[in-house]
Amino acid sequence: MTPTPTAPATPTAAQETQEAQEARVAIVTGGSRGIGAAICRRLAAAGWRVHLTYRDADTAAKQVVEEILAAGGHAVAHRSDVADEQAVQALVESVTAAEGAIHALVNNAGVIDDHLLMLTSTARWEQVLRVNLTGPFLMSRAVLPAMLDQGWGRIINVSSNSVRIPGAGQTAYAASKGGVEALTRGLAMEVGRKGIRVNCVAPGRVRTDMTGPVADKLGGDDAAGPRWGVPEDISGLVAFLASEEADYIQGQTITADGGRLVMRPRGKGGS
Amino acid sequence: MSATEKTASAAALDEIVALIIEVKPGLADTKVLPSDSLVDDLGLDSLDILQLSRKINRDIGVFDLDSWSEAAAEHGRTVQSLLDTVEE
Repeated sequence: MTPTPTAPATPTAAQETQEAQEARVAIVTGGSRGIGAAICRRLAAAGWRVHLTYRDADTAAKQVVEEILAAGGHAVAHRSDVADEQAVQALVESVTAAEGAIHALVNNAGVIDDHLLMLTSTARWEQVLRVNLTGPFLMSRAVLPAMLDQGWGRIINVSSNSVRIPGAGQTAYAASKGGVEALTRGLAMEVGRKGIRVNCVAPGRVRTDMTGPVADKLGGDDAAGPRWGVPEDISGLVAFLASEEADYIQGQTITADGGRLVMRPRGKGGS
Repeated sequence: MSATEKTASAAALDEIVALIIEVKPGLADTKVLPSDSLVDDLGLDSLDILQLSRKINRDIGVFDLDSWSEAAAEHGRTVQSLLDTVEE
């Protein structure tokens, strides 16, 4: 017999408080700067116990943790490389041992190494795919046993609008992020009925340390297009996807680009 | 089989069945037999079986999913085969 679908009740203020009190645990990769740091701050403000990873930005990671602690939240920084299988396993074991659970994973860590395809060495290509695509695979595989045991979990991948509108030189980056979107759909299909939601956020142009060189090359806001985004334009969406309220959203890639994808150049000047 | 052995194996079966139902709550009202195939009779898929193996390892004893899967053609992936494989 097909079960009758029931809509989850709209959370009341009391339920939301209860949710915050349960102190769910999140791992955010690449959490020391830019979008990742904003996601950490946003999740911590919502009551999550945040474990952020970073590769080498010790000072920045420490600063994010201090900000969160000063605001009354909980955060721990882990120096770890998402491209290193053993490091990923050690990280997840460490968080599980400390917290007893992992409820959400935000696969945010990524690298940009733009070159025209003809000038892209195999090593550069493989490194971009290793961090941007294999990293989320390794992290997801490592946290899934805990989420399966809990019967609840959220995996939120961070992709990019460059999958749909790549710039010259972004072939490796766009290919890696396209893979992340496919990984999102595939994994969502596999684990959805176990209470695990897997979704993806595709930011447009967001000014961060990582995109700084590209942003400088492209110039400032374009009157014909949307403004450059800020990390906080993305972090709220990620926090929503991590919440109970996103229970009915599965396998989706949600674009947050200020409308760049839907805007079309108009007139001879493209404005 | 002695009466004590019968009681022990019934208890082990109950324990395994409880875990199967944890993985697939829709089976709560189903009479699960040792001869039932996890896949063909009870409808567990590969993810369910992975989840079940983790629960068996956590709650009952050592269960090697890889060797159990390799011998699937022989034991037919029955509930009894789980009982035979787990090392308490």
